[in-house]
Amino acid sequence: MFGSIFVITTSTVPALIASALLALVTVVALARVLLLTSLSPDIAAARGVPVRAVGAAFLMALAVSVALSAVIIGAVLSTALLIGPAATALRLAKSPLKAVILAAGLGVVAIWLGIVLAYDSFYWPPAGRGWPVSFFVVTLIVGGYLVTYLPRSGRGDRRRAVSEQQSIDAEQACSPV
Amino acid sequence: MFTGVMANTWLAATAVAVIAGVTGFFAVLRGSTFAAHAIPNGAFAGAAGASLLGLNPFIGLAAFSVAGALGIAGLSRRARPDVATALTFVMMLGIGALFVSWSSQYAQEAYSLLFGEVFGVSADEVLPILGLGAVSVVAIAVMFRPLMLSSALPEVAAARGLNTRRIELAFLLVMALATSMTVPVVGALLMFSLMIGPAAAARSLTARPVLAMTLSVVIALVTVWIGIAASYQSNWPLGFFVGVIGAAVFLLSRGYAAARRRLAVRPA
Repeated sequence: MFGSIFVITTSTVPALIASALLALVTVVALARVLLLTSLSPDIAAARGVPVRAVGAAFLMALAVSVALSAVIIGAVLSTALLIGPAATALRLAKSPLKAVILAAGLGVVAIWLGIVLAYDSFYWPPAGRGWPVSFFVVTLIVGGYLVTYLPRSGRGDRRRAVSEQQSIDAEQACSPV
Repeated sequence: MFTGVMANTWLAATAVAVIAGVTGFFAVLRGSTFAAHAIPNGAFAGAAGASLLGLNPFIGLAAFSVAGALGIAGLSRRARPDVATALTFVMMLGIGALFVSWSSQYAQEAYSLLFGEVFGVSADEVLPILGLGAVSVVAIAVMFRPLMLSSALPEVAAARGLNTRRIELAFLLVMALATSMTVPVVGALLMFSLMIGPAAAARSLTARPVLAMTLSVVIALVTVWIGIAASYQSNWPLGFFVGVIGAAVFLLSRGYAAARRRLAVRPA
């Protein structure tokens, strides 16, 4: 259930990379269809997309990547990495492609930082044994997600608010009524 | 098979089956089965923390399952419920991993929390379970009508002025209360299968709410009773029997529902 990212043998690395590539290729090949079926299954069905088959293919890609990563790095980490960065990216990015890239980037940053912190924590109290990577990664991911809900303040935002107000004024000035 | 320690086992398992049948029915109806999985499994982190501090594991379980319910309900206000549940769940598990790594001898106890020790229930564990079972059944009975309305028709409930968020929170708290006491006895995994299997089967058998809830309690009771008897005879783990019986009952009831639909469609 918890696995350990520090005891990965050299022989498991190729399998991990291969499964990741398989999942990536599946998702990229299905990207447009997946996006349509996720956002509007009715339109997808009307356009002749086999919605259930696409769903099954996606589930299979998901299962392969999750199963392998859960065995190697633990179910906690793989669930957290699967959901947290994507949820954060969907709140921040303005287009699907940007959201996908941002999610992958956030995931990489979270796990790199988590590994560094866990490596460093061998010198931390209380046990002197090191804190688990999964704790750091989960905290970083959930923290990052919560940060997106903080009220935005500062100059940039005020300026945007002002310019929005100006554009609304301009619209009203231009409209004939 | 019914004497001494086994009497406690039967009593505790019966109470657990009633709680699981009642709360599971609403969990399935509301589509919050993921929360039903997350709260008991995540709460084990609390037990790990309590044993680290030298406290009674039950205090930690109660604190973490209530915190989990609050976290899910709080995040659900802004995010989709499944994302809220997943993030709360992984946070609890992450903290659990930290606690387990701090204490050296805990791992064994953690596994016993996941799988339970239903054959080692002591007399002083039975009473709190019975009391807690009564409390959660009464709580569900008190909010039965608003809970039913907000589960089946959330928009109508909101339009009639019900505070659906508060009902959601109350329901999650009842679920947290129910699981925190039952998890040390039957284990988080068993509690989950007892909550979901019978309720899902009952729902595909009938559309009438009270009948479905009663059926779900009855199926949970029969499942756990057969499971204990079979486990006692064969020495195989109880979780195996409960899981298999639950899945079998669900498949049978789906088959029955499909057959009935087909008969109803065919002209007389």
